[in-house]
Amino acid sequence: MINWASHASQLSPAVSHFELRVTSYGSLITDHDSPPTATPRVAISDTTAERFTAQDPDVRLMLRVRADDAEAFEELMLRYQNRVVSLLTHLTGRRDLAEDLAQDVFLRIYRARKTYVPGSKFSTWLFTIAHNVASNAQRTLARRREVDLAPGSPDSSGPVGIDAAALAASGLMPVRQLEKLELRDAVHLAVATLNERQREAVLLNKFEHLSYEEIAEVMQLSPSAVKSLLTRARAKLRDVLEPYLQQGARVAAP
Amino acid sequence: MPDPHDIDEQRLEEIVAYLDGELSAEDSARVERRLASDEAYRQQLQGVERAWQALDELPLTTVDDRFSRTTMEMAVLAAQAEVAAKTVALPVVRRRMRLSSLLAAIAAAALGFLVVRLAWRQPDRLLVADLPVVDNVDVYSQFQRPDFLRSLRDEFGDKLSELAGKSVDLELQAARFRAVSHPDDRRRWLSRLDDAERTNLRAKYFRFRELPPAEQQRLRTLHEAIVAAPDAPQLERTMLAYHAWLSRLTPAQQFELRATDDIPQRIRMVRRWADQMQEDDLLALGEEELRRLAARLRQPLDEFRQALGQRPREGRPAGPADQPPRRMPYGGAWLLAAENSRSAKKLEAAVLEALPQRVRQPFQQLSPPQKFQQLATWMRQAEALARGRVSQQELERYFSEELDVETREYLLRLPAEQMQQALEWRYRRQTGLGFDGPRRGDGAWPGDRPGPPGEHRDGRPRGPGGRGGPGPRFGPPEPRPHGQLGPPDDSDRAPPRPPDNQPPADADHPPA
Repeated sequence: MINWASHASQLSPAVSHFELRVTSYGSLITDHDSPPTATPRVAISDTTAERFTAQDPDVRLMLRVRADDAEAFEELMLRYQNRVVSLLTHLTGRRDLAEDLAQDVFLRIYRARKTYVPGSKFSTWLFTIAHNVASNAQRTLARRREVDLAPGSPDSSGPVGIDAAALAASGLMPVRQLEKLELRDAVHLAVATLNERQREAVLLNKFEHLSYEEIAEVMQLSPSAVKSLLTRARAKLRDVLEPYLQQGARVAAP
Repeated sequence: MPDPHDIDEQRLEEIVAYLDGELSAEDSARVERRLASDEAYRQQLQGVERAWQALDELPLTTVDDRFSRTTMEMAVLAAQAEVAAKTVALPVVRRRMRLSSLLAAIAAAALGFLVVRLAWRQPDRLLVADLPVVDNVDVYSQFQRPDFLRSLRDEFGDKLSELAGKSVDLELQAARFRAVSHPDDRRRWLSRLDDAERTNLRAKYFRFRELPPAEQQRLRTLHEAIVAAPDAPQLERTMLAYHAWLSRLTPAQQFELRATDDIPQRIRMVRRWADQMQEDDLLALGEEELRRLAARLRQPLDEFRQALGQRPREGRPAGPADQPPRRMPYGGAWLLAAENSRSAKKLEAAVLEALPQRVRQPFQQLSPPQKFQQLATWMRQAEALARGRVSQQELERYFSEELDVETREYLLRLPAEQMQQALEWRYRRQTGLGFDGPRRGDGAWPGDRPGPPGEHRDGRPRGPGGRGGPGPRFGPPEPRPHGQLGPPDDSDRAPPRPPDNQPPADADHPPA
């Protein structure tokens, strides 16, 4: 594997997007089991870099980080820390693990600062790193069989267990059991019925407002695969939540 | 023939893409035409969208300062490692050859490291970002809309500074508000704070962080609305005056105000309480005035006691002000006698003569029981000034003879040190002057009203003084509903009161 880091000084905005990913954080993310990528190699022209620099204030902050401006790094971290921890909590189901992983994400960004070239929105770049960090952690943990990664409520203390999630996913949860849930718990349960990739796509779409294309970039899938993921996820959410929401509507009705 | 399942999936995919804004204009128009004509299609879309909206229920995770700090520390270590790696990795020869570029690289990394180290040692960035809201969290959490401030301004007009209190410099407060509101000035302003002010600010910051995210956001929005309003300077001034005034209320009173949603009604409450406080302020004496009053009244008080059949304590003919006054039983009988007796009139004349000119008229306007109450308060304040601490023996006597069962039980539940403080404070605050009788604050007197406000030693508002007020005296703390903060703690606080009248932190609001 080429050690792009040793060529950092030769990097130019014309480096391909894929190469950028490798140079930026490829070596930082554990080399083993790199997630497959379907992202085409799209060259980052000067125009593209300028466009993202002009449009995205976070890109401008990251360029300051590249110039060793630590305050800019701190500012970026403060802007994103809750969002990254939130995403990782939902992906791993463990708040403590999520915080550790989020720190890893920010550390990787700091280490990769010298090779950063704006080829996309900053958030897309950051969540790509978060995706890779989470994927690696999940694989490692799955191998060690240390924890059950099925997410319940984020603090792992919620009333929604994996059994309930499975039951809800099967559509067999008795209505009266569903009725007893608070809406928040019902939503936790619904999200827990999604598989990991669906859940990640949903969170990125719903809370980070990433487009299909951006989600595809983060998750290293094709946009059409993202479309399919989101469609199935939304259908599942509807199937689980609809009885509850209808019940809520009946209760709320005068 | 196409599989119905595939058709369903295609249809759903189209609906989801439409909702996500991922369809072309042409496809979107087609979906919209179909929505208008196809009920089942419309219901399917609504079902998907309802479930999507329900995801808003998922809570946002909030990390604490520790997360930010440790992450920055990790970045610092990474920077250090970079410098070390660059130095070690290069062979000696190359190191010589590329000395200039190496030094440049190390300098850059070292600079980054230094800046990082400085950055995380600086005041919390979150604090800086929310500084105007944090610094004013206690007042922002007290009202919902700028309209309340407008109504308040209409009510008080030019008398806003009177609402704030004479010792509060609204211009100074306004300058502070402007400094914390301007992003460029915040760090400089923070760097000038002394330790006590930093501690105060930190406490406010924690109170702000404890609020639910939605409430935090509401306060930010409220701040933005106020500073962006066309009448921003007036709104700010009104808010600062209101803040100064609020800080003199007990948490219970603040809650009562906050719970009054109707703006006109709330304004009427503010007006009523403010008028009462103003009246009480007229009767407030400074330390020197208290000492002078006590000295001048020593003789008349002893004569008064003797006239009522009591003698000065044995061995202390005309007791100096540094001794506790002798207590007299039958306070009610004394009062009845005092109201009409010649000796009482003589005492009143002596009091009037001993009082500073400005206080005489307000004192004369009090009813006889209120005069008694006020004199008792002054004497206690003077006594505390002269003595420092009350003797343990006197406190024990006070505890066993003068307190009711409920109060005793409450005090006994406190940790020893807190109990001592609470008892001492209560001793100073309750009716005294060597007489029993109904205590101030018990609402026993006709025309009873909130007494002069003050503040706790820790900066908490003391609330109404001797003559009681709407706030509770005992019992469990009042509920802390959503948005209610702890008591204001500010240094930019109401006028200082004589030190004797400051209760321990728990005195008005004992733990449950």
